[in-house]
Amino acid sequence: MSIITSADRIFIEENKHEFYEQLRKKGKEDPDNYPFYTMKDIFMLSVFLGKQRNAYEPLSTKTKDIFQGDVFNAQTDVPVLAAIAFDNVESIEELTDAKKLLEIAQAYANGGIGHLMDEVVNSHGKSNLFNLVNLVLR
Amino acid sequence: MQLTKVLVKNFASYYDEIEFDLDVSSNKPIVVFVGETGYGKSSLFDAINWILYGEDYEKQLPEIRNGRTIEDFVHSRAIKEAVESNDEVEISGTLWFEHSGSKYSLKRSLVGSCVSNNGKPEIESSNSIVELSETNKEGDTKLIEAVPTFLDDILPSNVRNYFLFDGDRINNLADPKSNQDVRDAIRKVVDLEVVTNSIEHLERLSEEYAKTARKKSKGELAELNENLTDAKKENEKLKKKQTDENSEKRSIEKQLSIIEAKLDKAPESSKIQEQKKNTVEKIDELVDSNLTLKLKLKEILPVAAISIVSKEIESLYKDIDLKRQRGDIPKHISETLINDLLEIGKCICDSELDDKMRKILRDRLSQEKGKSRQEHELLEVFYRLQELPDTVDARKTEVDSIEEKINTNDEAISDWRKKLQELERKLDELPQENIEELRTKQKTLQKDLDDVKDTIRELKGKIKDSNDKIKSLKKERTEKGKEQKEAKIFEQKSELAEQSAIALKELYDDFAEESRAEVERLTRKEFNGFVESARGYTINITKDFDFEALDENGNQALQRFSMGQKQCLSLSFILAISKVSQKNPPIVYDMPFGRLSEKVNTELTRRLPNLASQLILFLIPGTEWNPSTQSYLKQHCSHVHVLTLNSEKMMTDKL
Repeated sequence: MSIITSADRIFIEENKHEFYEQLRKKGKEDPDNYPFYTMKDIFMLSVFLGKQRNAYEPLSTKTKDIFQGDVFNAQTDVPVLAAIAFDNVESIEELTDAKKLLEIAQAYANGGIGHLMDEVVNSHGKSNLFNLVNLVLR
Repeated sequence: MQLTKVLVKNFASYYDEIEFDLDVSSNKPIVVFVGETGYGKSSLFDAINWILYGEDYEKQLPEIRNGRTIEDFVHSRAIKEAVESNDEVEISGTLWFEHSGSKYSLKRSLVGSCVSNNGKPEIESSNSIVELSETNKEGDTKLIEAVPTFLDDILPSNVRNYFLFDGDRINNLADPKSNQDVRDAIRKVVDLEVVTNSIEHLERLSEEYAKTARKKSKGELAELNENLTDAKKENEKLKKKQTDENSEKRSIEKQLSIIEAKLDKAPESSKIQEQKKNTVEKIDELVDSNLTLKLKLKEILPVAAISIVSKEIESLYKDIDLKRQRGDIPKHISETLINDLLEIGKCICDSELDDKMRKILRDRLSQEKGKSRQEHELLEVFYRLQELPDTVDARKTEVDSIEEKINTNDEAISDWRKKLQELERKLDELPQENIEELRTKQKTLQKDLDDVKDTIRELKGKIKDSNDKIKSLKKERTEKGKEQKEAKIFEQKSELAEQSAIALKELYDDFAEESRAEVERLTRKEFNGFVESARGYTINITKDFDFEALDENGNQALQRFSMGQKQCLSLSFILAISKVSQKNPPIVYDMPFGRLSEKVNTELTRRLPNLASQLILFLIPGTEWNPSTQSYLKQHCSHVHVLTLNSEKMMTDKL
């Protein structure tokens, strides 16, 4: 049983969709320039950076859904989203409310995606993939 | 000879009359024409050739100018106007020049009537006119007959290509198959044709006298003369065949020496090829390994990145743990337990549930609905949060290790690539040949060489027999001839003519050899002066009139020459020919630097002012007429004519 299910959909602002597309490629081609396999992975990193940089920006303009809730890994992603949302709720029980969790996660992802682009694509490192490694390890 | 002015009218892109000053001084011997492609440089080059060589040049035009005839050179606007005014059209060129103290003007024109063919104006028929006038030292001008021999004496037609030439000409001369060209140039430039003609004349004379002697002779003597004529013919055939076979032998030996040189280096080449193959495989292996590692990184990085929010994880974990320890979670009775009790109808203590108890349980169930699920979900979050730090740390360690492996691989790839570059450099210096093919070719050539040697040996014997037979027939004829006086006189004349032809032939060979040696010496000198890289080679012109370049070890090096070096060699040869001719001609050079590298271009530029007493260059702006060539050449230029194109009228203009 997971708090977030396939009935839930994850949204981003439509004008930020191109950032997601710039970072993702399936398969074996060019991992140096495309360091993510899935939209979900980019979304999660954006949430982390949004939280770390205190960039909470609720979705305001036109939105676009990018994946369904069951794409989240129940063992890793959902508990992390709950931990991130913890500061933003009044009672701990609210963390079992998928709608609330996603609302908070989307706001952080919305604020974090710009930071992710700056750190990964717009930095002068060896490659986008190694910029991401630096971001994670250092 | 020095050109002083040229005027063209309706010639190619030149509409109406346009004149260019060509007069130069001794310290400024250069005239430059600068213009983009299609602006009229080659047209002017063609015009100068046409004025000087007329019909000879017209015959060459279709071959060198994509099928165009001289009528195709008439400016289209001039033809159109002629059709409209029902008048004739004229294309002409006039060249003013000085030679041996006299001044000349040579005008060549073509006047044609024009018609409109389906609305398209064209020339129907044309007449060619040549006018040559001479002004002597005293200032008297007279019209003189423009006979070809007059111009031939000043600037021989047969060596025209060595005074008026373009970039392509020098590209082709150093080609291994151009020995006939080289032979022709050397023989023509030193006027050996006159000697050749004399030899042919004497041989014909000897033949005629021999024929008369045969007619005048009777009986056995007549028969002897017939036999002698046949024997001489046979002897000539054998000697001709021997010359051909000797030439074939030298050609095969040359090809063999090239193949042997290549085969000498073949083992080294195949060893390096093998090393190169292994190096490429190693690089591919490392690149593949790095790709796999990077894909693995892509997979595990999102989990490792959870470490960015480790504080938040710890905070929530602690909070739920606190609630759990306090007994706040799970606080609510499991809905499943109440449902189970209601279904069984018994309490945990095994007593039967009455209605009152059932009501209490149902009320409780209604109050607790959903709350225990929330608590379960929170507990599950708690347990997952408990496991996460270990999982994330393990992934981070893995990321760290993969990154290190990729960096190590990258360093190794860089080292291998350097090795690969070094191997490729070594391979570039060695001939890239298919060894098997070379060996097969070598065997075939060796067999051909053996055959040719056998034929030469056989011919030698036959020629000796033939010479003996002629000697014996001559002796016999002398004996018989004593009896027939009249026939004997003609025999003696024939013999004298024959001996003279032989003597002239020897003279001719000596002279040709001297000329070859002189052209070779001058070519070598010019070439060594050209570029630094040329100084390590010895340039020869072999007796077969092939260019030969030997390196310091005496090995054949021509096939290793760069395009720039070959062009310098051709140009050196042309300059040598120009000097040997002693005509002191102006050199007219169309697009000389087109295919030369910047370095060779610069070195060539520095030598240009000393090449001839007058040098006319047609250059493309930018590639040929650039800041580097301009800075040096301008100080030696008497005139720089810049050609422009009036695109509206489609005609060349000068600035």
